[in-house]
Amino acid sequence: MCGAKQWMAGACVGVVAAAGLASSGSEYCRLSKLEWAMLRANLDEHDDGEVAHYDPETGRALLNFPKDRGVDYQHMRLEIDIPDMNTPRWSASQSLVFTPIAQPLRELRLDAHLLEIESVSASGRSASFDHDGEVLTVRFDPPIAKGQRCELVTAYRLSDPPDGLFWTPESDAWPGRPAQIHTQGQPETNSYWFPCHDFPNERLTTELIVTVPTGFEVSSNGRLLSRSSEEGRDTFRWLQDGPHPNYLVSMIVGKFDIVDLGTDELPAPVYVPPGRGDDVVATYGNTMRMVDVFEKAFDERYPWDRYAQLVVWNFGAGGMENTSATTMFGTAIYGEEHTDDTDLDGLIAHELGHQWFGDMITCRSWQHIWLNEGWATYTESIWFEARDGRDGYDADTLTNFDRVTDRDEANWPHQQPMASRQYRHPWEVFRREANPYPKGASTLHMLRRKLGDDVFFAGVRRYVDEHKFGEVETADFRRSMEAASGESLERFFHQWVFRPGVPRLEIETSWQPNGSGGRLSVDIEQTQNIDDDNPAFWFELPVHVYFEDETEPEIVTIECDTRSSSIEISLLRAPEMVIVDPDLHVLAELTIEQPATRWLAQLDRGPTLASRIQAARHLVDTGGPDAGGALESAARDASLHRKLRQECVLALGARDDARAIGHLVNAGLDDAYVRADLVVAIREMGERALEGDEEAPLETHAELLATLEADATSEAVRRAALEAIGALSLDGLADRVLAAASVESLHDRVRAGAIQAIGDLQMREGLDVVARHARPGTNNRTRALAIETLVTLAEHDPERVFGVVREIYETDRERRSINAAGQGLVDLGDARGVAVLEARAENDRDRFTRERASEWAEELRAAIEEGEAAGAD
Amino acid sequence: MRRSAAAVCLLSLAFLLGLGALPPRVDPASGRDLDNWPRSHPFDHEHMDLRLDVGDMDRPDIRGEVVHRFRAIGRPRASMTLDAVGMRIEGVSMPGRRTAHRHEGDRLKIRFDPPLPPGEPVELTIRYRSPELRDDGVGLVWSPGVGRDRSPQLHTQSASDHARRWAPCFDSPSDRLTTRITLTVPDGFLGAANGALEQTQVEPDGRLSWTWRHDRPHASYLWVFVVGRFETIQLGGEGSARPELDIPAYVPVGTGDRMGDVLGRTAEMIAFFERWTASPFPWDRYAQVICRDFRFGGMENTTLTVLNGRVLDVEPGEEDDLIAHEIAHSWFGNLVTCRSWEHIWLNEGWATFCEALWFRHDAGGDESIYADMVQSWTDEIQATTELRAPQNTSMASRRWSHSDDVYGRPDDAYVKGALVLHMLRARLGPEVFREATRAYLREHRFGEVETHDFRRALERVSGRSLERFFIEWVERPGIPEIEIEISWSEADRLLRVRGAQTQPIDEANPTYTLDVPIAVTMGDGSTRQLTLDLHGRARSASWSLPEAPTRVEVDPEMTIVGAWDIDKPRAWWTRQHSKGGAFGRIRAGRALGLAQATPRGSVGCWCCRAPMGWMRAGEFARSENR
Repeated sequence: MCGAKQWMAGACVGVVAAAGLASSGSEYCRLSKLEWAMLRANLDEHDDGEVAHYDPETGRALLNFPKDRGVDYQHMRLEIDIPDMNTPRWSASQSLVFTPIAQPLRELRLDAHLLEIESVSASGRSASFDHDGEVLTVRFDPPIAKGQRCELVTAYRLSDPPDGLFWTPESDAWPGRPAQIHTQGQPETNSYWFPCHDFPNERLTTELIVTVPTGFEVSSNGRLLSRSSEEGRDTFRWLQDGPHPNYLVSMIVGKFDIVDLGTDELPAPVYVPPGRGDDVVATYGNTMRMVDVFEKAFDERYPWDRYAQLVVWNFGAGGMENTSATTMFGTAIYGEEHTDDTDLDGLIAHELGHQWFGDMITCRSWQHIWLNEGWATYTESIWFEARDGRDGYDADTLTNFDRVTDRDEANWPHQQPMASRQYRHPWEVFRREANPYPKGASTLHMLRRKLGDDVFFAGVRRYVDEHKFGEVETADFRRSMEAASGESLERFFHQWVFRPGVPRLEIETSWQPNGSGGRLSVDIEQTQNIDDDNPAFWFELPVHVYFEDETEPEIVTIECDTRSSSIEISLLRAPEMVIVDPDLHVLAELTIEQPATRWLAQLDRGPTLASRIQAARHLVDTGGPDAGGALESAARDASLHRKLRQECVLALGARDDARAIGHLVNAGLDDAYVRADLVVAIREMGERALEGDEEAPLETHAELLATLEADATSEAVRRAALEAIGALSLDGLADRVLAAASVESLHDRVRAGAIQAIGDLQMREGLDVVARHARPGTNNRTRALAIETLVTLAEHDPERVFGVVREIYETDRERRSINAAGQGLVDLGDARGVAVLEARAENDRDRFTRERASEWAEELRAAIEEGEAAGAD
Repeated sequence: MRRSAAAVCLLSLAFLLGLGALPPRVDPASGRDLDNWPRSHPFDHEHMDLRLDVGDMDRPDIRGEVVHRFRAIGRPRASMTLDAVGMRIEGVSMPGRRTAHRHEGDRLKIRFDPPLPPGEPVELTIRYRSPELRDDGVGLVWSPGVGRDRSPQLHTQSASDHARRWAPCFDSPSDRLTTRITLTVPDGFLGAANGALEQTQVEPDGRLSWTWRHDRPHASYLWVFVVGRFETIQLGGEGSARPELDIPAYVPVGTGDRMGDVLGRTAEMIAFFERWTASPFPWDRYAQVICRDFRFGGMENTTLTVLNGRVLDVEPGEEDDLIAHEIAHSWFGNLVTCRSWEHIWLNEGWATFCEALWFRHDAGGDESIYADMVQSWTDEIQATTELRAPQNTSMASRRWSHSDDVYGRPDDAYVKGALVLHMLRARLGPEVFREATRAYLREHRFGEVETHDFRRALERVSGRSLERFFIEWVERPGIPEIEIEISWSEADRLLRVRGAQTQPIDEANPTYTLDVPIAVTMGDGSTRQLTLDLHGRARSASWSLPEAPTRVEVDPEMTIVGAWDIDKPRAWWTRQHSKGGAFGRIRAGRALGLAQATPRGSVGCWCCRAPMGWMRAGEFARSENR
């Protein structure tokens, strides 16, 4: 599924102000919680807290394992008849061909959530079956012999499923928007629209035959075998003849502009909302170049018949890598005018990368999801390396490193590792603290550094050869890499994949002159938690020592596997720079102590982008005015990679150098990403000022933010400025905020910023506009934000707010909004909410929806009782 | 390796040397991870050509020359590290390259100039001298001659990492190579090693050179040579169960006839395992040699198994378990090898399990002999003091002081490993289990395996997901203690079952996921299969039945290995004893006080396993003086 990063680096999708903005560490901290919550908002908003791995009451280990297979599925043919795109009901007939493995089959259990099963027959004979609403059990008497082919035909009806299939009818709230259906199978939700073995440890070929009213397009996996018309109805027949797992089966029905970016050999159609065809090249123009880059890197042809990308309404995530037909979120389409501050290449590369890693080679259970998501995230780095060179690769890798070090603690068993069997629901594996997206990518990057490019890619080729169209565990990947390299990698994988946390290193480099030369010592301290369950990390840390007038460094590698390590080396003369890990060999948080002169030299002449950014970050607490000047001039330097400039801006902010920030704001810097980080810097300065003194005067901050908010060329900058205005409670700018709430923008980002600020500023006069955008008719991400904000404005008009939130919870069709409203009912603390939630907890068809409602009801009841108890005191 | 005597010896040795205590996982002072991680093998070793001149057998002083052929893997390599312990390195050379070497402690580090490009085969020659003669049973073992009747012997014991004591090598089970070993020995002595005899040559000084070629790759812990005076008998050939195979045995002079009987089933065993595994015997020959001062029960060196002299003291049949065990290693261990010592149970659990397969087969498929053996393994593991994490490690742990320790863990790789295989057979069914084993051998022949390789083969063939099983039974120490109470309530016609897991349960030792089968037999002979899902500490269930059952049997196939405490009416026990299956009868016999605590197979060999215990010097002497 969509890398979380795309949400940030990619599309801003209602969360982040502009592409790349979130790549700065501090911004990420602020956004991560919201971003993660929203990523999965359509699925789950459970607290991310510790998931128990042991139940003391029963004594059971709470672990998850792959499902038994029992039979080998070979092919599914699914015939679907959709009579009316505005009535979410259909009937379908499914044929599943399989052979029992190992033993005669008496009973087959298929996941089938809330389907109305009408009949089941096995190889022409009717079969007896039970359906408990979740599992369809078919009994065979006599049993089907081992290895005997059986065709199971199931006729069933489907009625407005609560998950897995998202039906967006025409609506007065969206005049002119045609009805649409899309599906979402990951992690285990395709069984809401067809019976299947809903787990990734099984694969089959699939064929969808879908009949729809004329005028609608149907897309599924693979290639279109035929398309026919009869009496106002069109039938599409799609065949996916390379086997793939059930969760990647996709069906999309709607009206689209379709622009093919591909070739005769590999069609690459992009499906976008009607009228948006002209923007396809601006957004998706690099797709075919990415295919080339990946084919070369993995030495493996793109594995499927076509590569479609489909932009759909009301999509829950950023992108979903359904085999040969990726689904993209609803506003993933923009014109040339937005390319200054918007870049979807990360998301596009990610989903394309999945076609090899995830689709062609699939994680065997969710425990090993990093083999999908870490790989897909890493393919982004491979793309940026091809597109932007080494700096682009470094910038992306460092962003991944930062995202891991921000959250991942060496705290087993209280924190789970990236690959863990412990979860209540499979979607939790996608958002662990030890996150499979950035940590998986970082692990692959480290492996590449450890083995060298040639051996790394030879190992990848081996992995692809050995596991093409197969299901893998982490050990499979390790074994391929071991065979290619001769290295034993068990400890490496154990440490980075099966243990949580990263090293947090405090490093001191000191130079003691002695005559003309001297001694350089490097002391390394691992300061993260170390205990019986969390040993010290083991790694080789390279230190590059540079001398004036010499371009080649002396490289010292320090092997660390204990709390403290140190080396001392004799040098003939004093070093100019001592650079720790300039090529990012080790995923670690580094705090390095050394004289400012060396940091200044490193900022100016460090050999890699990563080393220069490291210098910018360390110049926050040292270096005096020289540092300020150096950072400011680097921030202005358009020849530098934007990530370095952004880091310089953030460092200036962290130095509370309002003067330099002011210069930069007024200089009208060319790069929107850098300007957006000016907003972040100002905001952080302001927040620090308010922490020290709640009444701190923030006129300068307000003035600078007003300038940035007026940025006519970047909606992303504008959004960030609006949010900062709210965060700093700059009431004087309330008019601008209100005005911005009516501005139309890409991804609705300006309005999202304004709504956020309305909430922060507690603007009564904003109630109307927030309530309007909480209702259907607005971008689905903005709506969720508007509902949350509306709840925070409740005291201005409690009746109205309760009414709106309740109505949304009870009647809405957009999952994100329903969830925001459910949480809103809890947060409102209105006793009437209990009955609303309980009604759903009792009556909803879907078990997960019931469970969720019941949890909310309980939470609300507890809060009310607590409030009453407090009132009684 | 067959440890019975061995493990005890090793353990006591380890104890005396202060080894063997379970190290902590993390060193508290430095925070260092103390697990044993497999070594990298930056070179693919293809062939070793080893020449050993043993000199005088009255006081051997060996001169060695070894030529290693190998290729660098992955990237150019400028150095390599080999293992070499207790010997003097006299020279290192490689055609076309300058080399430098340093021998420090047990490592021989060699530098190459220019570096070796990946993929290019090269040959490295090492000359060395005087590998240490040892009397602790590992490495190079010299047994001096005493008097007229007892001539001197040399033998090697390479497992787990002692080949390095007699040949500089990359001493790790993660790599395999072909070998050629030439032994120059005094006239009248046999020099035997792995593989087939390529030639014998009389040296100008009248001594004999024996050259043995082993041209299918095998791991270093399986390399062996033996020098001594023996009587040779042939157990294969015409009239045997394996007419095409050379199956010699080298036995003390004068014991040939008798040993022909004691080892008499060898060919049949080989033929049986070939059929059971659907995999022909993978090596050129199968020789057995009885060595003096050999400290272990047996050692499955490829094609040349060394047996303990105790076989000289037994009646035919009594050591068939040992003989079968070592033969089974020809497939499980030698053909498919554990990739690192943490996976030793894939060698030893399998070889132990194969003993039971053989006896079952030999008794005409009688399940009761098989059941007896499984029950006795269970008794053995049950008798071990309580096994819990983290104080104890599982049989598949990376924690040890010395790799020899893996052969003697309380969570025993032999017995527990065999029990795990039994449970898999019982749960998947014998046919599927055998099919999966065959697939495993096919996929990994001449390969190195980790536990998950075996699991994956089982999963593929059976369609079952076995991760949980392997976590509970292989990756954790111990077995469950299970209490079951079953009663019939005539009033409401209910069969009531209460189950509980009573072993200590905590976060590090969660409950086992037990689906306890309960077989109910009714008066008319009809049966019902019930299942009590005892996944947590305790569980009660009741089933309504039309009438009182005549027999209710818990887990009749023993799909769950545990310390069972079953409380049910005596009448059901009585019927189980007369009508139940093999496992049920044993259990009922015990419940009714009719059977001995330790059952014996009718072959009568099984008893010698544990009681053999300590091997005292006197016993060696006794067997030698025969």
